Amino acid sequence: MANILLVEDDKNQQILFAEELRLDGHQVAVVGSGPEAIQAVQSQPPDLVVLDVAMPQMDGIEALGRILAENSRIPVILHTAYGTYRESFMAWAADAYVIKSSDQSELRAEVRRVLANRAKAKNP
Amino acid sequence: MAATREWLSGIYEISKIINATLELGEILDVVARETRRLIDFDRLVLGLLDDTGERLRLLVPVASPGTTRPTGSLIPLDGHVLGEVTRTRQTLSVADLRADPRFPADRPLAEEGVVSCIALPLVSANRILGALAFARREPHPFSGAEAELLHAVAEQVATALDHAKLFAAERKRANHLAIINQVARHALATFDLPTLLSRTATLIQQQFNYYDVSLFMVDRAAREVVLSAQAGAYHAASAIGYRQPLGIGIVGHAADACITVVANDVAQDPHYVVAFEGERASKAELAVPVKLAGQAVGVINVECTEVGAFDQIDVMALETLADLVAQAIENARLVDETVREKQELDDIVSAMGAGVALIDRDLTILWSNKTLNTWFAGGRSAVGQKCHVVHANPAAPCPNCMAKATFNTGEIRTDIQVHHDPSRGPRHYEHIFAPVRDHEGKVREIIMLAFDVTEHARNVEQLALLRRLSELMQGVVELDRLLHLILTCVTAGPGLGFNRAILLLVNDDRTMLEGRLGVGPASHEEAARIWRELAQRAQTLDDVLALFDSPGASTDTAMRYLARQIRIPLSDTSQVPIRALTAQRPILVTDAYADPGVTPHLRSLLGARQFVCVPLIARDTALGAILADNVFSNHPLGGHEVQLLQTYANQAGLAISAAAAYKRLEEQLNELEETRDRLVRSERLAVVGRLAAHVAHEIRNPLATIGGFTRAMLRSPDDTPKVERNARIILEEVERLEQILANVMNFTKPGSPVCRERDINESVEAICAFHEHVFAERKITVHKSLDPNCPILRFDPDQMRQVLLNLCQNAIESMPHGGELTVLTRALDDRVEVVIADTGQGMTESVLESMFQPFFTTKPGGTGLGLSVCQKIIHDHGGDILIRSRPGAGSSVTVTLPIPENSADS
Repeated sequence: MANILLVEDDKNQQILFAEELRLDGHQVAVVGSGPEAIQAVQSQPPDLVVLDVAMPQMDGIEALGRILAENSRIPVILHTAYGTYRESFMAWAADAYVIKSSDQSELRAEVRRVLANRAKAKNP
Repeated sequence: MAATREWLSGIYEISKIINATLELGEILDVVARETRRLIDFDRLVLGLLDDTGERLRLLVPVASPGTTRPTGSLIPLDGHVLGEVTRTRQTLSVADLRADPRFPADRPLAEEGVVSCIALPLVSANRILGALAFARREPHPFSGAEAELLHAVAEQVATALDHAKLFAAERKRANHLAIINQVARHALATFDLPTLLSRTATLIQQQFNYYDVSLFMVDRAAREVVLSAQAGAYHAASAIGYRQPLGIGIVGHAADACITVVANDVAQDPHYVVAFEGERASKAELAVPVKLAGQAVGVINVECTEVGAFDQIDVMALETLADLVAQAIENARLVDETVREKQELDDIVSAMGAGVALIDRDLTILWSNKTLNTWFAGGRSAVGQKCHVVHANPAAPCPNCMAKATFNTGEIRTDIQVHHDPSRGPRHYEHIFAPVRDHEGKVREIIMLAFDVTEHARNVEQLALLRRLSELMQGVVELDRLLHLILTCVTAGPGLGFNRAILLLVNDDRTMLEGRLGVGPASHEEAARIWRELAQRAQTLDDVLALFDSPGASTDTAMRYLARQIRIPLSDTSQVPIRALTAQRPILVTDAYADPGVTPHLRSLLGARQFVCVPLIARDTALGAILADNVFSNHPLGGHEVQLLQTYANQAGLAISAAAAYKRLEEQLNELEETRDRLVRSERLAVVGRLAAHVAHEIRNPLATIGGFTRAMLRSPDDTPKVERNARIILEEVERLEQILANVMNFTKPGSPVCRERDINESVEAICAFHEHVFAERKITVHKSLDPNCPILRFDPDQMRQVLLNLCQNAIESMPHGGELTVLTRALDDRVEVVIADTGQGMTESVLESMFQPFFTTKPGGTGLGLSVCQKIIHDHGGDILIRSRPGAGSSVTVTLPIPENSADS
């Protein structure tokens, strides 16, 4: 139901996460790096960004900063295999922090929640 | 006529008797007796002319002595009847002496019964000998006939007199000769000058029957004569040593002028002085100088109570005696000098403290001095014994006999030996052997000097020990061993002068001083045994220490036990050890039984009268004390021993404190090591933690992918293309997981290379072969150049494969659109280089900097471990890895491997 930008450098994971998110009816656009994500946000702002952290050239945290600088209202979900940044994500003004697991249900649930919150915020 | 006949027979009788005797005294007696038979008279006196011819010596018969003119009186010729007759050679008759004006000197005789007299000349061989006088109490002159008779008597008397005189002279001479002989014999029998002089004086006085005989010696320096011997009347009055100036008196004059002085009437002699009251009795004096080399060295002086007592014979006799005395004096002086020189020599040699011996070629001692006898022969003479018997080794000559060496080479040799005196312990002697050459220059005998250098040797030993001790102590940090070593060095060898030593240490609370260790023999027997052992086995310092320096040696048990019984509270400052400790100064106890600072307990424990206590100080802290004594050798303890022990103690204190410091240091080091280990462990943990975090991340990704696609497959199992796609992806991820695992395992494994001898070219070839299809796929051209001169290297083949694989893969991955790969090996002098170069995208400087860091990766999905592992492997092989790169142009990795020492070329 929403336009989601998936930022993920791992090819296989690109396929997997996109398919999973589409199961919920979302439109999923996929980019493979930080710079591409920024460009995409600029050209076609999505409703939500699902952002990987460990990426070459520009990692997810830097990308997050730039994306929010570009458009501070876009909700971003950090989606990473790192378990250690969970405590910090609020400092980075991400809306959610999901650890990659073999079960994508948490991701899907967080997407739903964040989208709902934004909708609520928009329409009190 | 009858009278004449009587008279003739009487004269005959007289002559017969007179001629039968040569004694003057007898002659007179006979004359008096026989003449009285014929003529009546009261007195008879004989006057003999003396040598001077100016005086008459009077003789009277023994039977009728006169008081005024006893035998021996001297009268001048003038004024006397006898003198007149002697002079005129004419008989003279005097009717009354009292009235006759011609003889005033004789007048006093009248009171003695000499009134009228007749005096007859005594003439023999036409020489006037004197006169004979007969006197009567009454003034009754002698008749002509009487005169004739008496004249005949006088003739007889004159003849007899002449004979007697001659005889007397001869006998006197004979006497003199005999006496001279006697004196000579005595003189030659003694070299003791005072005895000689005394004996000479006595002999002369006795034989010649002089009144007084004195012998003076001349003191040229003081210009005096010194009375040196005396016999006779003045003995009691004057003392030996009495002095008189040269030139004064008859003696002084004789000494000064070096001439014989005959003063037959001292009253007339200008030189005469009366030395003391009693001397007035002397009337005649004869002083004969004792001459040596033309100078008077003494004077023989004789005095007589008769005027005119000395004649030529006396003078000659005394002069002869004087010569004898001179000779004897000279002899005595020479002997004295010799004795003194010998004594001086002995004294010098004794003062040197050297033993001296004369040794012949057979090493027999020909002569030895007292010192040598005392040192080596127990006080008995060493003469006749062999040199080595007397010295160190009985039975056989010494191994390097220096005496023999001196005989053989003729050069001075020295050696040092130890001699064991049972009472004094070992003494060190330095010997000097010097050759004695005869007139042909051959060495027939040698002189050996022995010097007791024990003190010196002891000092040298002690200094050497001190140095060795400090060397040893520097190497010993175990406290107990150090303490034992210290005590051993204090007691080791009798040369140090200590038999036993005890170490006391202050306890940790600093409340008590406790005995910790004791070293030394437990009894005299043990001590003697140890000394013997030392003498036989321990020739060097290290030998001594080896013998003694083992903790728990049997000799220590008793002493250690003893030591442990000493416990003294530090508060008891009256006790010697505490005093030494607090004052930080050594204390020498000379009598343990009398010293109030020694408790009965300590006294009975030690059982020694004398001991030293020195404090052990280190940097102003009192650590403890050392007690030491000489209870077995009884070598007295003096300032020197105390000083020595204190020096040891100072070093020991430092060593002990160093050992303690070392121990603390060790402990600190251990702590540090532990801390470091902990740090390392925690670092490792940290790394592992980081690693774990990274691995978790690395594993999660594939897991998420695998899990996701599996679920998708389960959700839509009939969607075959998707299922196939998913399965393929799953497999890919699984492989990726395996790779990660492998990387992780490689990183955490210790990874010490197991080296084999291999050809590096082979390994490189293998890797190239492995990637052949990849090169083809990716359109990569490979330029291979392997140096045939590469020697066989030593490396772990598996690890090397891993490295080459990694590098190769990096190179391949850097050229996704193809390119050129250069692989080469290069043999240099001391190393081999393997180069893998690509024409790929290259790397920036910042990337280059971080290349070898673990977890650094530019690759998507890379673990970042590959290059760090490669570097570790190469470093483990002793090699190096270097990367050069230019972005856009490519990279080049050079691996350097060392060539092993003995390597063959391939």
